[in-house]
Amino acid sequence: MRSIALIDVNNFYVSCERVFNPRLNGKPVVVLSNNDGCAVARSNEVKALGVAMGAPWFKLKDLAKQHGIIGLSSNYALYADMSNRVMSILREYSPDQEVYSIDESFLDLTGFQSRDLTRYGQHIRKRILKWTGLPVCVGIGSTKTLSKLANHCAKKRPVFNGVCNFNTMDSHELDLLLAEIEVGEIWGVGRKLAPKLEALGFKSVLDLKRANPERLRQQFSVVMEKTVRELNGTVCIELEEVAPDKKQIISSRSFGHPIRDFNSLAESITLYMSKAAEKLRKQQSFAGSVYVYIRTSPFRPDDPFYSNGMTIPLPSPTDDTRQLVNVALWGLKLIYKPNYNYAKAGVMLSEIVPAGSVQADLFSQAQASPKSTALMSTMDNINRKMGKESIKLASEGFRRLWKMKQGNRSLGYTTRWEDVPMVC
Amino acid sequence: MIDVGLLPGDKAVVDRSKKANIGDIVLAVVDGEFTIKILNRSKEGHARLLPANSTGVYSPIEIKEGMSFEVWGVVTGSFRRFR
Repeated sequence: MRSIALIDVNNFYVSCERVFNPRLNGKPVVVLSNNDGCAVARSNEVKALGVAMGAPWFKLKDLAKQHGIIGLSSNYALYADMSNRVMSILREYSPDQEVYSIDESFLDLTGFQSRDLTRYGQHIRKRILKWTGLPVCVGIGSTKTLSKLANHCAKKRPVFNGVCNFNTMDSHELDLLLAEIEVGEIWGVGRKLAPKLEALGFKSVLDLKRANPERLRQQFSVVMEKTVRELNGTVCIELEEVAPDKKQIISSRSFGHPIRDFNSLAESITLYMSKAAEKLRKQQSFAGSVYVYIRTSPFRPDDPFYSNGMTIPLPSPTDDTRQLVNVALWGLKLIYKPNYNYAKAGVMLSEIVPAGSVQADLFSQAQASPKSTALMSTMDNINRKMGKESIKLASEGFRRLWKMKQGNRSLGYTTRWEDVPMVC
Repeated sequence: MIDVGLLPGDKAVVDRSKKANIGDIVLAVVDGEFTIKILNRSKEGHARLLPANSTGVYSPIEIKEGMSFEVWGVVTGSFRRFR
């Protein structure tokens, strides 16, 4: 039997904020999405008040006033840095690690089965808390799906003291536990599929575990079949130790204020495309098509609504910011209509292929010429060394009147010397 | 903390992984506020934080019941810029 652990940080963004601002301990805290739109992380105190994940901040204002909820803008530089610290500590506990998200990691502990893995899990927990200040929970099971559920139990049930190991339970004990967990908690089931499963009589995790995998494959998909097999201890989903290259790269934001004029929209599109192109080059790929879109706010019923997007296939794949921006702006011209209050714009790169496998077309004007490659890598190097946006296309704009709202963002405590915490 | 050579504006190096012993310079959190002091213990066994400043402007902090207290990390070094 395999032993796979899932370790995740409790209320990750809020916990990061608390490490450097201990006054937030014990208080209801939410971290808001870009533009201070909605709650993307909640402290336990906020969860207890019944605030849902994704609740819009403006709707929470009354409740916030009543209970003193503190709303923080998201500080991704801090979260990314803290995430790297956690992941590098975890790496010392197993050679086989899959970083699953910013705050979750799988570890294959099969090779460590001679040890008491529950104690091993407690060791991980204590060390991460001590070294980073972040609380984590550990779930251990014989498949990834089971380790996810074990992690859920470790978090929700205080008896486990933060580490839940399914592999040490006998099958009767485990089934009793699985009978108490709703089917929607299973990895990959979620809110969308849960009602369908419930309608078929699969209400608890145990119900689904006892289902016939082949029948579910017919009724749902092969993914559901795998889920059932994984619940029964058969590994169907392996650890991905190297993150697969992204098949799509999306870069989009809501604006701080609605914008109406074409030039500001063009600036924002240029910036988003520059970011997307930099990501593309970082994974050494070329994009074969560009999607550009703009829309007004669906939350302002008094404003006329307009939303449009356009996919533009490229004559041959490229990673050159200038070409990608040109194409995106050409598309923007076609979809732009004056006299609307635009709230959001974005770009998406797709049909992404590895840089080596590009076929030049007969009529293209020196696609991916050595000159262009050299220019782009020089640009990326300068920006890496001298700081973001040291050099950029002039069409990205310099004033950025449309830039995001981040009213209450904490400092870059661990990434900027000027922001290191001060002690008097 | 000038008596141990920590001056205003110095950067303190804080190691969270170290276990704090009595006599260590620590970054502590007392009732939600950061402070750098020498870790000490009272006769009754309560934690006590001592300043290192013979001018007497800072007084020792006795950790009593009902106060929140945590050693955030051990101060293992410092550095200072002259310009």
